Amino acid sequence: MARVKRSRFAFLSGYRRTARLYLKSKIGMIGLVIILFFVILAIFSPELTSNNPVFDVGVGAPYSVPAWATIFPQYSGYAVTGYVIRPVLFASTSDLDVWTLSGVTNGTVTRGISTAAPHFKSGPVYPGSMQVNASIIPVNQSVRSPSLPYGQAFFSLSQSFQWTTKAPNEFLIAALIKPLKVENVSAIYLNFIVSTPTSNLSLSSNQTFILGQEIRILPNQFGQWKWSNISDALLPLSGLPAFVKGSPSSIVFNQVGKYTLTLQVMGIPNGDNPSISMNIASLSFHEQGNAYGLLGTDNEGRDVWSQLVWGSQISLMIGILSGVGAVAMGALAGLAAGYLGGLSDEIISRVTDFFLVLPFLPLLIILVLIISQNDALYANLYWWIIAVFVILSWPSIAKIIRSQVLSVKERQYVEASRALGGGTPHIIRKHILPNVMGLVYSQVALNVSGFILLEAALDYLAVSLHPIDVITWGAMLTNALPDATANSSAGYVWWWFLPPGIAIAALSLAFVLVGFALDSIFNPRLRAR
Amino acid sequence: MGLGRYIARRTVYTIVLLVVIVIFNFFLFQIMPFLFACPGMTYNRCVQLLYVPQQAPKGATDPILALHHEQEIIMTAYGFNRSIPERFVLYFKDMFTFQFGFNIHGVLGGSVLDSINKRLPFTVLLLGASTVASFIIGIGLGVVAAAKRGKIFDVSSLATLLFVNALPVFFLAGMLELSQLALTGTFYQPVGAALLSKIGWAYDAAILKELFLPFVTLTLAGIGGVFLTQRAVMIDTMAEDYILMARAKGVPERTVLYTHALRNAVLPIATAFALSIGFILSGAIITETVFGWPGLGQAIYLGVEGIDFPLEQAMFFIISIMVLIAIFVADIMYGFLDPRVSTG
Repeated sequence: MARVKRSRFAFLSGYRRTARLYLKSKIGMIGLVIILFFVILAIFSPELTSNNPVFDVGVGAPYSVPAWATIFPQYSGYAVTGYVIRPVLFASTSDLDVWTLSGVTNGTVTRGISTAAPHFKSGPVYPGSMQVNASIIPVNQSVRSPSLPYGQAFFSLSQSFQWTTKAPNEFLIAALIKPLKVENVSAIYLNFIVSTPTSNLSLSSNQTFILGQEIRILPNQFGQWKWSNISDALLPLSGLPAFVKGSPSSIVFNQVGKYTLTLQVMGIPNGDNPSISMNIASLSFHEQGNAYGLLGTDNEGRDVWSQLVWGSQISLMIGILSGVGAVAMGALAGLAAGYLGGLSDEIISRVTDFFLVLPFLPLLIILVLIISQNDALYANLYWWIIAVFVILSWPSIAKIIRSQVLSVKERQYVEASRALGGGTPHIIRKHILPNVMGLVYSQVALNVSGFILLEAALDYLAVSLHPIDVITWGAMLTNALPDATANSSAGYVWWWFLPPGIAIAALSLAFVLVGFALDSIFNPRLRAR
Repeated sequence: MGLGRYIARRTVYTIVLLVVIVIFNFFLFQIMPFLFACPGMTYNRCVQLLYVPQQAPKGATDPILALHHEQEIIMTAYGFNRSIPERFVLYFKDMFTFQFGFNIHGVLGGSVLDSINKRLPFTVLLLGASTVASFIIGIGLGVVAAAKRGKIFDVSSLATLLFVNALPVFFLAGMLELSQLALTGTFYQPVGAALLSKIGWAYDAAILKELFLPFVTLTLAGIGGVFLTQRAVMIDTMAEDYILMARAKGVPERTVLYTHALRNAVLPIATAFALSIGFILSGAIITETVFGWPGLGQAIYLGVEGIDFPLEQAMFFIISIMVLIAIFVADIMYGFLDPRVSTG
């Protein structure tokens, strides 16, 4: 019984030996680590990226440099696209302290966490909201502040932030609010006030012009969740004198220092004891500058990091599947040709010659072009590309395997085994395969590397056939190439052009290294003496 | 088997392979596109849909008559009105008499043969120069690396060339364009634009100037493969018994290396070189496209873009002939150089 057990797992000791040798191979380990890195990118693509690599156009300004590149002098001071003030999800009382609440003289104001929260089909889930109850004593018309003609302030929420960069291209201040209970107040106004280090700028008009309609909340809207936005695109329309001269962001953010954003809630009292209860689910300040994320953006403002991460899937899938497929086919054919000889050898050698004569890359593009003419086939384009890779590549692999089989077949121990009565299955299993498998493994690795490069070349040459919803490294390079070689104002888009090129090079080099390592393990002649 | 019989056998075999390739090309260019583009449709209907104009030429006095006339011309010119066996016979005849017909799309000019002739010198110049250069450099580096196996020179040249080999060619081309910009402050000008106004020596000088970057790109891209093959063959050869023998009897290491080993190790490279020469006419599609070099590779690319099958099938045929000749020559050469092959 014990004997049977041992022999059943005997093959494991061979693998263990190979693994031990492999772990000692420095280049093999480097290759493996690089491959693992990209495999992790491919598997965790959804978790690693927050933007759709193809369809999320304009997540940042076009040609944004990476956020970390602002440490370089030529990009220093670029505003980084992102939240200046993040939206806080109000889940517990500690979340309330993010915003400073201040009431007005002669008024009362309290706040707490409310479970009332907006529900949207997509986007963040709001666990709750901040509820503010404020009441004031109405004052005489004549005493009212001259700058706020349409009502009285009830309360305000403010938060300070440090501004360290140049002015952003655009900004957006957004509040998600719901007036709950409003007594003796005829309308509510929201004022967004940005205090610069030197002056106060009221970003909303109290005149009910176009901007006012965005901000004003009339009684029939009470009790509903409502987004209130201020963006620099809207501000010039407001007709405020300060913003007629230039873009609001360049006027407001023209200096560095401590800024404060204040949301001031005002109402028009029309009776005694006016009070406002209001829920606030989100209040945020987003800016769009010339720097974005890990790797910046492309010419359409799409996230390059997302493209790089999602592109790894196609490269790995095509490389590995066609590498394994081509080598499996080539190995079977090579074994048959080498061991059986005769007619099968003749056929396989002739087919190999035939494929050798055809110009590989032109044939590849033409086949892909023909395939993409058919809508049904085009839907699975990448599977067909893999099929074409396999069909065009297996003969040369068969040729390599065949010559190895031929040389093993002639070795003396095989002859001895045959003389002792070993049958064909026995000889193939015990003598031929163990001596050929090393070559097969290294061929897989080397071919995967070749196919990764080939897929990139195909992306370049057949760019018009590229499926619109898929991003690949080759397509990234192709898209970036015109800008990379001509667009000096965008720094030759190095953050967009280099990553896919380096990724392709690293991944295909990694497979070559693994192939070399396997080769030297299975082929002792190659080991340094 | 004597050398004469060996050559005769190879000749017959080469001709058979050429015929097979012509048949394959017919299937690839004349049958397959229509099978895939319009499934379930008759051949002629599909042809009409794809290639025959559906709109009258602009400015025609009688549009319907003009349209019919145009359609008639196309159908006859490309043989679309014949049956498939008829077309095949015609195709066979056309190919072997170099009647390649006319480009379907205007980008490349009228006659296929003309456009090939016009582009041929550019491709031969670029590919010829870079193939020779990459083989010379690759063989040189490979031999030295094999001789200094495991030393710094070997490891560093291996690492560098493996890395260059792993770069996509158009990425490499873009990087080289950028380095030219950084070094000289000028952009690479596609050759077509730079040549228009020049004649005589100025024309040649301009071509050579614009040749530089595509040449460097292709040479860099080609060195790796040659280097790796040469190094591997050389290392294998150095392990042979006769090298041990030569060393044992006190032959100087240089002589062992360059006389005993190299002469045997250069054989596989010679085959690879012959094959590369055969493939010269297929041009360097990617490099020529990136740099706008007006060679045959660019023509293949433009032809694919415009679904220009007369050009593509002519190119495939010519490339196949060249490669077959190259293989044939390599085989014969092998027969002369290595007596073991022909005497079996």
